[in-house]
Amino acid sequence: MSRPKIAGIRTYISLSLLVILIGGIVFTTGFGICLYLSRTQITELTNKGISRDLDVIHNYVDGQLQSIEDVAYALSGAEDRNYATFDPASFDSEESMFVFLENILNVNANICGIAIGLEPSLSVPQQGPYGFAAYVTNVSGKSERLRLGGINDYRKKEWYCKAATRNKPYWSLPFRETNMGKVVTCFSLPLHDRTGNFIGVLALDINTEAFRLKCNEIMPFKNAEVTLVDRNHRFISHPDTTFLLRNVSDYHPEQWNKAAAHDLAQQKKFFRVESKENKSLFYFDTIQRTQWIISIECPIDEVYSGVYRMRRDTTLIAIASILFMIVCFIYLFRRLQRITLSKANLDKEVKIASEIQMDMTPKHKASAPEFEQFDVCGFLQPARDIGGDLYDFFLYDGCLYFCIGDVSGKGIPASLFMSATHYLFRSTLEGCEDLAQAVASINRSLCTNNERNMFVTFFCGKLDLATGKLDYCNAGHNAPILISHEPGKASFIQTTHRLPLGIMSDVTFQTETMNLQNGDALFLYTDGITESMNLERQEFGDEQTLQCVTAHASESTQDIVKKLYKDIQQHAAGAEQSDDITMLCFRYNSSDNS
Amino acid sequence: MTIEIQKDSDPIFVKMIGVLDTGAAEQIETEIQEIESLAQKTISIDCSKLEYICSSGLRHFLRIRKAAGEYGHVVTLTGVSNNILEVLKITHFDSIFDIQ
Repeated sequence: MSRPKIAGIRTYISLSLLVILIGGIVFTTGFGICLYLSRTQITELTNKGISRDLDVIHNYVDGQLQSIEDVAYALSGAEDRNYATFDPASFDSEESMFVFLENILNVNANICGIAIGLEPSLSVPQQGPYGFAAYVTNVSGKSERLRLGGINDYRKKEWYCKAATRNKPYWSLPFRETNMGKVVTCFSLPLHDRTGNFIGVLALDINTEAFRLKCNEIMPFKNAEVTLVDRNHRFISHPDTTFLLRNVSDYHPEQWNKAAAHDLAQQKKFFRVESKENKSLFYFDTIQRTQWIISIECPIDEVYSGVYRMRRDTTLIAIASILFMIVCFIYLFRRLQRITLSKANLDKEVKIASEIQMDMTPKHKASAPEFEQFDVCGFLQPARDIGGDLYDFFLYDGCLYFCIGDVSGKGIPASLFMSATHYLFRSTLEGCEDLAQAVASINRSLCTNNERNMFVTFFCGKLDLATGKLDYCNAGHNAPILISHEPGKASFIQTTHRLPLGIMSDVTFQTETMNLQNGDALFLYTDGITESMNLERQEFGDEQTLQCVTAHASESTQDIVKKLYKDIQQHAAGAEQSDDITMLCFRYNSSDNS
Repeated sequence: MTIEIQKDSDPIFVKMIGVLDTGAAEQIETEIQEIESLAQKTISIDCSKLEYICSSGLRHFLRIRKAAGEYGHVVTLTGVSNNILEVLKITHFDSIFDIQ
């Protein structure tokens, strides 16, 4: 048995792929938008958070620097911040100056060193030829005095000369203090006498360690780096102390160049640089007082870790979904394949059954000698592939036995009942003397185990070819039409109606008799003819059937059948055939005439 | 095709409305089973709105008739139109139903 072709499988595969593809595109687009929105949201939140962190550090550092400046101005008694006055004559000795400085150091915890340097020309007690400077530092909670001057000329030091030459307050570059090794920065304030002449410099040191600790407190992300750099881009504060006073451009030259160029040129307080090379976000803020830069570097992986996690999870879910869909499609495909195969097999079997049914109907060969005495034509057109109508005829002992029947319903159930009837007709009627008894016998057989209450309307007859005597018996079937040998004469034959076969086993039937004349024809049919409907549900009807048969009466039996079928089709005018259509027509030619 | 069944009355009234062709006959299986199960009471089928009946429809009538027969009841058909009556006569079904 050849494998039936499976229609629609290719379409199914294409459709499945299309569904997966469209689903994938929709999902990816939706997911992409979702990811983009999440990323934007996270960026916004990070910007806000980091901005707050920068403010915290900025306010702390700037506040500390401000407090140093405030102390300096207070000491110098300056009203104008750019023009501090000082009277060295108020100190009668170096000792009194050291004591003065020590007192200040003791009450200002944030100051780690304080110095006053004077111009050599001034008349100050015990002044040497190179001037005098008193310097007091705080070493482990104890103040330590240092007298500067002599060969070690303090006037060449940054803290003194920058303030002296500019004659303006000056914040020095941070440097490593020699005693404690701390990184300190120094605020220098030029001093003037009452006439406005420059007389020296007041310098206050501040330890930057506190800034470093503050920066370390701020930790927006686990691996974020919060740093503070001076105007020469050296680290003042870094989580790793070995980085202190090293140049930052050794680590992130591009970001720092951008930051410096951008911030210092545009005076913008806060901005961020996204570095793809380092996979980091850089945020910057500037302290204008010292031109220091606060920097927070956030690893992109940490900033967007939520988004990345979501992307990873969703991708896994998407892959799982697609795999699940593929598995489902394969499962459905297999089922569809099975169903299609079994339907294809069923269709094929129905087709074979239909062929068997057609093979069961007798084949008429005009040249066969046994058919000389009559001209016969049968026709069966099932409404579905397989029908519940039957007709048959055979010759036996000089008689023509024939039947026509219509099983209730259509399709395979009707065809099975029809086959049983057909078999019983052949086996029971052959050589029977009394038709009614033979039909009753068929009826009893059909009633046995007929749980589904199937029945068949049945008309059978026996024509004695020698005499033209026709015996017939009707079991609930439409009355056949007798086509007379006289031109244009046809009529329904009189029959006694009895119940169809298969209903009640004890029904009696009646044999009726008539004589056929030479040239008379009998036309048998099923209700598929008379009840054939058009689109307006109008039946072809008994009258029209009779009229049409009468109109074709003079034709050969083959033409009568053919033309009547054409009439039916014309009447139906495209309406679907609702019932099986069966016709059997034979014309008797008596032997006397042949 | 619709079937109205008055279960609570005695006799049970069944009204068949529409065209009882092969397609309809396949769809009313449940209703016919229900009517069969009610056959301990007498059944009266109103055919006044029944426009057409095919052989499968007749088979359903026969089932009801047989179910009623088991209780010794006769099924009454009322309002039978001429064309339906014609079919009943051809098939001699008029002999097994009480047609009023």
